[in-house]
Amino acid sequence: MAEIFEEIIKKIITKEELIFFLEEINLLEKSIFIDVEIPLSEKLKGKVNEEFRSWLEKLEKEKFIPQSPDQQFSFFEKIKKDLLEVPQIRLEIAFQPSKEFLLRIRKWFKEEINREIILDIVVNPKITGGAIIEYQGKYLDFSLAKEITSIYG
Amino acid sequence: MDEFKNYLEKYREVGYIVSLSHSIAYISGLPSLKLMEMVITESGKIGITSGLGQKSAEILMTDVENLKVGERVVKTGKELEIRIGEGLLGRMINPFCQPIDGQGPIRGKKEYQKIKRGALTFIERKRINKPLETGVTMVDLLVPIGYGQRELVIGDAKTGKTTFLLQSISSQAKKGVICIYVGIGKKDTALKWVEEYLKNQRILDKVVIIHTTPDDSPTLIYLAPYTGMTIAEYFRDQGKNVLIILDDLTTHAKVYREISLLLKRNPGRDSYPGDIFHIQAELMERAGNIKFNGKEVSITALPVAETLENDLSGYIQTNLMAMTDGHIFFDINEFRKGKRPAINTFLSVSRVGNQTKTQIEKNLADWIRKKMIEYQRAMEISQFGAELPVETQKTIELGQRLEIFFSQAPVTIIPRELQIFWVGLLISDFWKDKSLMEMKAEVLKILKEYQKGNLPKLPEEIEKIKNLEHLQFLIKEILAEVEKII
Repeated sequence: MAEIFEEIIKKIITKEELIFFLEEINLLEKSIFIDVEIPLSEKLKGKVNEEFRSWLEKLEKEKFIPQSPDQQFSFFEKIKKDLLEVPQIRLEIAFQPSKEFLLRIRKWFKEEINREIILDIVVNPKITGGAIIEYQGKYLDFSLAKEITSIYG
Repeated sequence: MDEFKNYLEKYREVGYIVSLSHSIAYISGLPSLKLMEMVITESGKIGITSGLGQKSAEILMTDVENLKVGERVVKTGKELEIRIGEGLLGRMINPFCQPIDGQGPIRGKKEYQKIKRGALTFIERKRINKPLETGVTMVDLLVPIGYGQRELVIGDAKTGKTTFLLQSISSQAKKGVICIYVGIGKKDTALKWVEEYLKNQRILDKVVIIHTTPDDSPTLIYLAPYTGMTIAEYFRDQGKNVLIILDDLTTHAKVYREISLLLKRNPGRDSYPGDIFHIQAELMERAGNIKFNGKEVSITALPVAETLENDLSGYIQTNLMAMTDGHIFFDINEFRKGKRPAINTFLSVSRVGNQTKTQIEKNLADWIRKKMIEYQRAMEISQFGAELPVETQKTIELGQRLEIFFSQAPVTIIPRELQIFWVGLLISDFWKDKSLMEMKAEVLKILKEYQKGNLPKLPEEIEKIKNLEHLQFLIKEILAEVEKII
């Protein structure tokens, strides 16, 4: 299970991606109890993102997914629960970040706080530069706008 | 918004509203939030932390209009405080000390005070030893109140409780006492009437009215008596005597029950939470008599409790009786018989009021109480319709004469010396050969003439009196003067 979770969390960087992934799982859960003899990856063809479907197929081949529908449901519920427990860091920045930038940021955070995180990116050009970071209720303003205000009032 | 940003910068903590349920907001974040700490939302709404969970905190919001899930919240690092100053006198305010009378901002110097504070310590308190005149003969003679006392005013709705309270305010404000009227979940019309009464009596400038309506947030209504008490403490600490009216604490208890049930606290008797006694007793304990800069100053509290069909055994009613120094009972049956004020003196108690009275007042009260009991018994006998012995007829007549003293219009304030003087006249058989109607007219005439400035030496003379004989002697001395004015 830990192996699967690690694989999932590698794919999810931002809160949007997390929401998207959870929606795909919700869709999957709805089809678990319909045509139980057909594999899930087959049933979901054309209904979910292809990347998600191929990941599902891989899990089925490696026999990670349990056989009975009830167990399957609990399996995906557990994934959802674990994902929602991953701490989120709200990052307010002045520009639209690239994928590489987000990966670098996540890597830096992971090294600093030694745990997996999900980034909640908010683009706010008003902060001019720098970033405002929120983590578990803590609020740190490293924005350029704040610096400018403190200098010029 | 500026305030929000300042607190965000100061504490570097932020929270988010995760759910809303009536006036309760559940927030996540704010890791160092403390119980009772004040929070502010991005839209400037104020809340008080009432519970801390592992994932969220419960906040009692004072205003939930346009509040949304997802809105940001900051901590303020302090408990709820209000800004108090002399400028509050003569104003109608909400529990945050914001004016709601359309008279503009509160002027003058103000200072911040926490609204929830501990009560006075035992050592700081002084014995209640000065009588507080309510101006209502029945109360002043038979159920006396002292400065610093907590006397419950209890009775059914519309039995004249508020009228009595306003008479007390009127009597005390004219003596320079600061009066605070706290309307807890009162209708606008009721508060308007209070304001009008005070205006007509020309004492509004000595009174602070704290007004909450049933439409206000339960949190705001719940806070109203604490604000009132904090303002009372502010004036007391300036060396002034204060009279605070809490109208009424049964509504306060109901509002607290509503909040507690929404907060999913365990319901106890009548669904009230377990700490209902504590929160109201804690408030009552803040009243009392203390020595301040070598002078005795006091907060006299007159909390109100509403009953249903004279039932004094209700949960909140008995709680309030237990935490006060007595009660004045407004009897609906007396009210229906036309008695005004409809006070049942036999069921009213003042535990510390008697110690403030002089010997003559104690003697008079004993004499009146004895005569009233005899009168009541005689009235029961008279209901059988048989011809009554002369003695019984005399007892009834005396009772009826005493009732003339006790019957009082809502705007009439009777000074203490006049109350004693009237009884003195009755004991001295001044109205022996006069009818009840004649006596009533003469009693009113004496009052009118006294208010005009006749009998100017009366207060001084009454002050010197030690016993009943002495009183009768004084009556004989000034009888001619009395006959002249009537």
